[in-house]
Amino acid sequence: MSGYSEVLYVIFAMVIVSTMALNANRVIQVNNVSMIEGQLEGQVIAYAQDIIEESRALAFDEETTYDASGNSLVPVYIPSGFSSLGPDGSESGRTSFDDFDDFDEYTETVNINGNDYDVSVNVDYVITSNFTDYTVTGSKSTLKRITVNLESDFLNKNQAGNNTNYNFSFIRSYYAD
Amino acid sequence: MNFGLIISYVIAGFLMIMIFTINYNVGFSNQEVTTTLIKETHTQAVKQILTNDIPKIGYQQGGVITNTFIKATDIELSYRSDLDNDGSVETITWTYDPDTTPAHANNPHVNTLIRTVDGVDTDITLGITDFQIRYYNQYGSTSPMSTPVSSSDFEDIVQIEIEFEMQNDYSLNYRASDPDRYITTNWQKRFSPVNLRPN
Repeated sequence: MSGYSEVLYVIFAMVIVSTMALNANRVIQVNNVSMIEGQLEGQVIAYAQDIIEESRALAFDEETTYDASGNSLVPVYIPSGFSSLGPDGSESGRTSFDDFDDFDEYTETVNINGNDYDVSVNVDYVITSNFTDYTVTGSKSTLKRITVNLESDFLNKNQAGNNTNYNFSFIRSYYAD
Repeated sequence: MNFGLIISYVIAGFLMIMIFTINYNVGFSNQEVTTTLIKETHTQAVKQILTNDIPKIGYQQGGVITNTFIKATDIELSYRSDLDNDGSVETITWTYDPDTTPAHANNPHVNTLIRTVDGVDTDITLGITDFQIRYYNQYGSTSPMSTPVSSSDFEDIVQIEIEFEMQNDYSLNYRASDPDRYITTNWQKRFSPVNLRPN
């Protein structure tokens, strides 16, 4: 047995050191993920804010855009006089958008500092009875909600391995414009 | 000498080397994380000042500022705004000086960002290594206006994009012989100030 005792010691020592090595690698991996996620999430928030701010700078609705004198048009019937969601007529691309809901169904892949972000935007008419809970409505209302969704292949926190979806919403009221 | 004992010493030596290497790697990784967090905090500080200042371009409590911009270049932005909402208009200037490295900086890439409010300078020497300002005359455009923006085109500006890069002050090298390596953070945001809306 004495011939094997050294071997057993060595095996025992290697098991301990290997466990240490595996744990250390896990720590390093978690550190790297934390560093990258922290940076990218800051950029995700900034880009979502860009889109929300830009949409807010446009008219509330196609029917309330500005005339040549810079005056906002007012539909006869509110809210039924508002337009359908999405780009109107020949509007295609952000530079041609002239109202808030033109961003509906807008998608793009944007590269910021070498990282690709998939961006998708949804705009809905919403209603509320208590100004806390908002529900999407199929009819028109004086409230519109923009939701900006961002994903990146480098932001992946799910167990299932899917990209994390970051959602940012803003509710705009026709009367509080 | 006992052959088994020699082998044991050799294996023990390998194990010791492994332990030291693991220890060094974990320590280095932790140093990277800590430095990144410090840099993120610095970035956050600059972001907060920018997001306080830029959206207020052209704002005045109970009034309208006619000549909002004073200067608009890729490294300098000067404008008027009622920054503290007291009714009086201040002149705010953001200037990036790519040729002045702060005296205390160990990182030679670090330059100075200066925020001036009514002639009072605040040097931001937190590790700014690049700072760019871009101006757009159309919402969502991907083509910035050429800089410096001439005063006749100031009224066309509707969006302002700021991009900056920061690096830490000391180099983080895995080996002493490695070239200097600095932790770098980037941030980019396009502002759509309310008072620059065409309507």
